[in-house]
Amino acid sequence: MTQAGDDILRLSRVSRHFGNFRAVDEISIDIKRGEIFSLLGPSGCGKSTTLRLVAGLDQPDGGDITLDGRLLYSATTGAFVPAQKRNMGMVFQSYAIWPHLSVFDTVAYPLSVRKVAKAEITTKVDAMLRLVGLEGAGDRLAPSLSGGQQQRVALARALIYEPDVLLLDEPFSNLDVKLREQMRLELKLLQRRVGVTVILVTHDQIEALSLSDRIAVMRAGRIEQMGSPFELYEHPANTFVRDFIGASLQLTGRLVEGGAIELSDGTRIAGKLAAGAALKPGDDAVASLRPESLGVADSSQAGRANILAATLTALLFVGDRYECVIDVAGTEIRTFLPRLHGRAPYAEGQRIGLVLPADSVTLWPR
Amino acid sequence: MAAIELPLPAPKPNRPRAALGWLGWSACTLVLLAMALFVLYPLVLIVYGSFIVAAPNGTKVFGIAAWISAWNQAGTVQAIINTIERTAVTETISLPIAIMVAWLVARTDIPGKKLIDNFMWMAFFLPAVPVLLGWILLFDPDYGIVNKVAMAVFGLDQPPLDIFSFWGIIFAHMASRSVSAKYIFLVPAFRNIESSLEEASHIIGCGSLATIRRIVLPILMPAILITVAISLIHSLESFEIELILGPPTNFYVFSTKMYQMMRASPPLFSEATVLGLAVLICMLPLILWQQRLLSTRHFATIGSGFQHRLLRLRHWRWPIFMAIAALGLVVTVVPTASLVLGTFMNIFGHFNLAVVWTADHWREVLGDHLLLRSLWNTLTLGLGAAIVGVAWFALVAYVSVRTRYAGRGALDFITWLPATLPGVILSLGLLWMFLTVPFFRPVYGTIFVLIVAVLINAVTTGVQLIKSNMVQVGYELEEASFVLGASWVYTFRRIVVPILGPVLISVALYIFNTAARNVANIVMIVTGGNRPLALLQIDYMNDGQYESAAIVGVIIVLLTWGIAMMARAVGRRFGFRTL
Repeated sequence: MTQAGDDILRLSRVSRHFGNFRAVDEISIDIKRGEIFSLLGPSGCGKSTTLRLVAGLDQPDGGDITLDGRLLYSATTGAFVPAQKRNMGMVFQSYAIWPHLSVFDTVAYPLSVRKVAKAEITTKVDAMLRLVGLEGAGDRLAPSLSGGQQQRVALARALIYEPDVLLLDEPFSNLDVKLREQMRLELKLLQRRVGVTVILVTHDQIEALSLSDRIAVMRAGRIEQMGSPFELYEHPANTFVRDFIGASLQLTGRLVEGGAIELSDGTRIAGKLAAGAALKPGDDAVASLRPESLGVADSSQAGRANILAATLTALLFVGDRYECVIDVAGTEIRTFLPRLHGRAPYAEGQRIGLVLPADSVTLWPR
Repeated sequence: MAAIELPLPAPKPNRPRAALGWLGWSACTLVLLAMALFVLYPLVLIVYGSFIVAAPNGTKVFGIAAWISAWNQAGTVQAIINTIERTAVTETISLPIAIMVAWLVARTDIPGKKLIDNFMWMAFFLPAVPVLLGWILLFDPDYGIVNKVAMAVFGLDQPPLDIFSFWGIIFAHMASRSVSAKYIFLVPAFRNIESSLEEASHIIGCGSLATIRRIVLPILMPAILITVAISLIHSLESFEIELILGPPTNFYVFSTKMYQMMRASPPLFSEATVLGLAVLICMLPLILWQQRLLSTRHFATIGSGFQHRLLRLRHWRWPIFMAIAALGLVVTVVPTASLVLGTFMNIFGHFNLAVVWTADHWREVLGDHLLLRSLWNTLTLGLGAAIVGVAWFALVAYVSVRTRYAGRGALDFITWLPATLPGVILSLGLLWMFLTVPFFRPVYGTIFVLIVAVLINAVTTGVQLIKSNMVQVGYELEEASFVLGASWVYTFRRIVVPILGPVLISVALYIFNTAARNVANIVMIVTGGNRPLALLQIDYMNDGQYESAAIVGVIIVLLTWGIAMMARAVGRRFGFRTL
């Protein structure tokens, strides 16, 4: 019954209103055992509120929540299991490190609550501190630690009693960039080792893409799209998801026959229609693609289908590739170009033909 | 001019609060009902009492005569003018000083911060009447030491300073609580400004003073306004200083005027209650205003690893420190030393007698069996009130800060009421309550009655102190505990109380201190059996025995000081960060 892959947590049409404001609007999610599931969205989209509803720190106004077949909340029966009895772990955005306890006492706290024997607490806490890389720091006052260490303490405190689900509320937002990347990797390795189900709330798409097994993109209390990072990146269901995840280059034109748009200068850009997009020839349309799909051709090729006349205005060699700014008819695009093997290098000010491979271009309604 | 965006956290739509189960709801309601019983019921009796008029034949009838005659009493209008004048002058002088000192301690690298902080707390805790005796010995127009010295040195034929005057009263207020109480309320707010806000201002070229004026003060405006509101309210209940320093120059403020009416023969109870209620009515808008202010204010919260950089004073460090330390010394150590000196004098203040110094008074007072009994009464009253009070106030503060209980606004409102009612009037209301409610009659004359009176007096400041600290402790610290499986009671015991430890100890000390010094609130309900030291002292003074009164004063100071030291030691044992 408890094999990986079955649903551990179900949210079914869960809502939370603050007055007239629908912070969470009838969302339904099934979270699988052992996966890392991210709620991704801009601030104010309801992702943190959803997490608080799951934790039991806040009560929904409708819907129901089930954990492993056990009803945590139900609007119909009025059942509500408080946070204390949900057996979940949580890492807060601020880490919520208690200022008066040592690292050891902080991590031991959940065990003391559960009246675990002293000797067992010591063994378990020591093992946990080793696991998160804090061995020897047990006697220090938790607030005297650095940001990254505090986060490890918060993580250790949340994992020590082997919770069913680990909730992470923007866990990396208080760390600097370098530390963030390091902790991201550590968290993923730790999760794979421990096997706990993780729900992660973040507004950082890189964080969500790199850590998650699945992501739900939220906006205004609703889920815009749910799927694997790859699916969301490659096949965004709508313009919001497309623009929120990853950068994209967008060109505006008019749809013509044969799955292409015609730009104002007459260049045709072929691509595939976005799923569900209702477009007919003559409509205003947008051709969109990821910058990393761009290619470079000789400037003489410009004007042919899917090739634009462009100028390299800035070129930065960063070792494994070039960072560059390309001017396309007055619009500046920032992107990367691969380094060239055995060919004459690019030069700043060089005129090029910018290739938009048709299989990478998606056509959207404007 | 380009707009500068400040790195303030985006305001959350609502502060997180705990949802209540039916158990929590009942507990909150119980707290509210108990508060209502002990605060609102005496108030109702006072309102009722204000409509009782004595008919010429001696019977009592119901009428509004007192509401008219109260204003025709000789000196009532003058007392109102005096009150306003005294309050305005004290506030105008003390607020800038308090802001300056709070800023220096919280935001700069001034040396000896602990010392300055200790001076402020000492000034706050020193009982007013004994300290006043010390000041009298220094500034009395006839025998004051400072006056004598000044006359001798400068060849004056008039004493330059007179403590029994308007400015004497102002000085006494400034030296006791006017500055120190504001400092205590302001320092936490000053500590919690992000340094980056100040630094941003420095970077764009503002000097330190300009930064205080243009950045720090506006950010702190809510905290400052609330501090002012609290001191305005406190200012109206001030009683002891005016009771001792006012009468010689016929200077009465509201509270002493009412006391005079109640002690007249026949006593003018109804008229006094009318004046008391008039104060209450004037203060109501102030309470509502500050409640609104607090509810819309966004608090900076203590996260973890909270740090800020301090402004460097450079070569100003030591001069500024010396000035403030000298000020602290003057308002605490000097009057205390003077008080002790007075207890060893043959006749208080008379240096030209054949025998100036004597220990006879000490022998006499210490031999008085009344002293031991009063000491015992003060101790049980103080400790009882402190223990019950801290638990009670913390609960009240918690309900109004942390829960979504519907009656929390009402609860907060009730905690403000006692401060708006002059202590003597409240005392009268309590007297009527304990005599008219059969349930309470058996306890009349016991310490319990006085504990209730002291707690009602201390509730406003006590609850506000705890609240102002509680809102700065992020609620996530508690939520983290809930999610980890801890019950509310477990969290309260292991997280809330230890984190708030320092302020809870301060509040316990404050309550003990109120119990040891307060006269106004208990004066009407004290009986022979439960008479505490503070009243013994007043009795000695009324009999003109200033030396004995000073000795009782020294004992009160020693007692409060000893308790404070013990509390600190206890605090350190439990690992609280000390004040």
